[in-house]
Amino acid sequence: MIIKNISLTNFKSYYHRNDFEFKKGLNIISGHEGSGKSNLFDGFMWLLFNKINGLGKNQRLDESNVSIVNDKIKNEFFIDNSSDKINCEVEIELTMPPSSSFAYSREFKVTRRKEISLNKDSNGKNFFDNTVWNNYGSELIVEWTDEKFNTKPFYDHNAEEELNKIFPEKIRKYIWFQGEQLNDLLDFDNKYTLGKAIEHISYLHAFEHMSNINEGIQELLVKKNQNLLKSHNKDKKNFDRLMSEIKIDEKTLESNKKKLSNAILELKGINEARKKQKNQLTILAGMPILQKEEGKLEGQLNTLKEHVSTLNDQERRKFVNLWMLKGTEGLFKKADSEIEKFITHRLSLAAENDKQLEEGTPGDALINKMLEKKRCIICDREAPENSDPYISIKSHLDSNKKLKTLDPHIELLNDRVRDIKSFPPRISNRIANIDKSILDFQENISSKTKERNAQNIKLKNIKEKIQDLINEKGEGILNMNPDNINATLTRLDNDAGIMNRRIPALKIDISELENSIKQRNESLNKLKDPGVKDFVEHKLTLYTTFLKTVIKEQTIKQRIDLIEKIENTANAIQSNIAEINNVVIVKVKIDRDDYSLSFVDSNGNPNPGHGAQNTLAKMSIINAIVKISSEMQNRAYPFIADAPTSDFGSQFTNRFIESISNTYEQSIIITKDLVEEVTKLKKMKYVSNVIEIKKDSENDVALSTNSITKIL
Amino acid sequence: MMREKTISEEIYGLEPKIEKLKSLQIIQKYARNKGQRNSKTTEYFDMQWEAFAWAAIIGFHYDKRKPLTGGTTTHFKFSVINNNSTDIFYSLILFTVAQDGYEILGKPRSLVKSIEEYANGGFDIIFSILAEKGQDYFDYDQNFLQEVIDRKPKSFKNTKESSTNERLVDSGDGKGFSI
Repeated sequence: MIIKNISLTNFKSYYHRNDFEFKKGLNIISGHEGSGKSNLFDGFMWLLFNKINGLGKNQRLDESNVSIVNDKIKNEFFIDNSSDKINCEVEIELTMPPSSSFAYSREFKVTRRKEISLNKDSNGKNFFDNTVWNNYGSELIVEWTDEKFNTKPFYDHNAEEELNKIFPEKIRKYIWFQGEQLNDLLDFDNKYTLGKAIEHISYLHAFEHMSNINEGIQELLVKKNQNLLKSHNKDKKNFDRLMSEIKIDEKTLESNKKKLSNAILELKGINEARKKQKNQLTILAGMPILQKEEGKLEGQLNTLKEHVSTLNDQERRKFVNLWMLKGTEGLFKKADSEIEKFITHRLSLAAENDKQLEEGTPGDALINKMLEKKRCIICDREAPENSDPYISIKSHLDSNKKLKTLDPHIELLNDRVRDIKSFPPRISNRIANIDKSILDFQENISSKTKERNAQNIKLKNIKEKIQDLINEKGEGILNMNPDNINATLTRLDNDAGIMNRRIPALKIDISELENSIKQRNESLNKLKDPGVKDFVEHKLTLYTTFLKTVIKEQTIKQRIDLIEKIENTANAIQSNIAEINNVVIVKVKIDRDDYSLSFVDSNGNPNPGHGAQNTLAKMSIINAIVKISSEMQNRAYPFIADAPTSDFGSQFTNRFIESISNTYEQSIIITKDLVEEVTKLKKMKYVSNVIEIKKDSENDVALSTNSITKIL
Repeated sequence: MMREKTISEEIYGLEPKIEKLKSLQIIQKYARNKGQRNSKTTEYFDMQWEAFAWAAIIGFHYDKRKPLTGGTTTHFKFSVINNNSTDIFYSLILFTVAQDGYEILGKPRSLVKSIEEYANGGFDIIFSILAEKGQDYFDYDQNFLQEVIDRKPKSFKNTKESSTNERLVDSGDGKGFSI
């Protein structure tokens, strides 16, 4: 970085605008006491730090009553009332080479200004209240333009941030140096002062940043790891659960397979038993038919037997009552003939012996015939019913009864003949039908007998079949009960039904269990791997832990190395400067732990030193820090110092500024110690630019605390 | 005037005599005793009078009259025959009339005797049948029928005339009867 110029307008002793042009290398601003050297330095300080010389270490300008406005301009306003505003402004222009932040070199213009409005009093005159000089209203503007003419302005807070990029806060203190106020500007008593510088110029901040990132990552990883562990534990839980479930499933599967095997065996047994029962039933199915047939035949046979028996009985009855009379028709005829013979005989006896009987008196038979014919056969005349002839004929009826009784023997015979005389014709009629009756009967009985015989044969066959069955299946078949077999078969059918339902159900269960086990095993395989050690997060945690250790070690090493380097560089600078005067210097010693600064002699023993020794030592530290920072960060900062050599002699000062010219790419040394040597200095190779300023007596303002600075 | 008894009434109380030696054997063999069936024997007739009547009818049919000889016995009254079969009862009377003439009606004992003798003749014929066809011939019911089937109608001449041409005659040679 090269500061090209600084312009101060109405700032302290600088009335209106005053420009300082700087060059690369060593720029010396030389002027006597009161010429405005420190005001120039304050210009830098105000611009960059919003602070000015004379303020306490922690005092803010906006809280002080220190005036930064040129007194002359203030007086001009009070007197002339020409304007009601004062513009107080410091502006620098600088060049920055390309860096990681921007590709092209940039021209920066940094401006801090304060516009102060003045109040009018009752007389119409301007007046201001000193309180306005707090930094209220101070405005910072940073604007850059690059090689491509890109430009961008920043204001206020953004401008502060942009300025911090240009002059990092941690190193900024070391760029600006005012010897007389060294201890005020840089509080080396504060152990963090060096610490911060060291952090800035080293990679420690990077390490710290890395460490923070690392720790952040580690924290996340730890959380993630914890989650993973939780998840792992959860997975473990799931794993255990799955294992347990698989074991249960496998046990159930084994049990179900056994059950299935048993069920299949049982079903086989049931089916065999069913087959056996069905066979028995088939056998028995024949037996009842046979038995039924046998019973039926026996019944029919019995019926036939009874029928035949009845027929036999009937035959006997018929035989006894009629049939045994067969062939006796002749006897009946003869008997009848005997009866007629007797009747005739008796009648002849009556005709001969009964004289009371009128001659020609017909018998009843003849009379009845005449009455029937209604004609008298004797006289051959008609005798209509109830006519006289009819009544006359009828009067002769029973004339025989009226006969006188014949011989008692004849009459006895007659009575006995009358007793039997109706039988011959009647029985003869019956006998006439005996042949047919016998024939019918014989046919009937023959038919029934044949039928009975046929039935007997059938029955015999049936009995033979039954016997064959018994012979084949044993006597036990007679004790078999189809109802019992059917009941057993029904039970077996039910059992088979149960098994037939159970077996597919078991098969389904087994299939489902196998699938379940397969799925659980797949799930298990997914869960099987995750050992904690295999987590990426775990590995990363190990890595971050390792990195943390490395960072910590490197941080310590870097810090120690840097401290050593600062010490060595600072002591080298001191030695380089000191060898001119051959003065005894005190070596700087920075505590490795708390960065506290101490001074030691060449033997390492504590030596607090005196003012010049301390100043040199401290400036050497500053120079060392800036130098190392420039080297390490590849960014050169200018060194701006006010009265760095106030404690030194002339020769010592020359040696110091020569040392500075070698240390910094650009340095601006404001000093009164070289006023007498300006001409000489201008010729020195290590001096690039010498600017002289002096007090402008003409423009001095009465009652003013500051003189007006004039740039020569 | 008191009515004279009919011939049936006259013989109701009489018991036909049966030869003990032969006829009774036939009766006992083929008729149950007092109607009781003997399961072990083949008794075609339920009652003894039936066998007697059967024998008598055969005797009348074949006109085989044989006086009873030797010891006789009685087992039933004629009323039993009438009570069981009036036709048979009167047939026997009528057969007697046919063979002996109507005068027999006035001689009940003769009538009974005639019946007894024809029955006795019938028993003889039965014996001759058994002798000819086997002693077990009438063990078969069918043969009782066969016996009547084998009979041929016969005409009988008036009692005053001889009818020996159709009579079974005991030849006396011990071979039984021949028609």
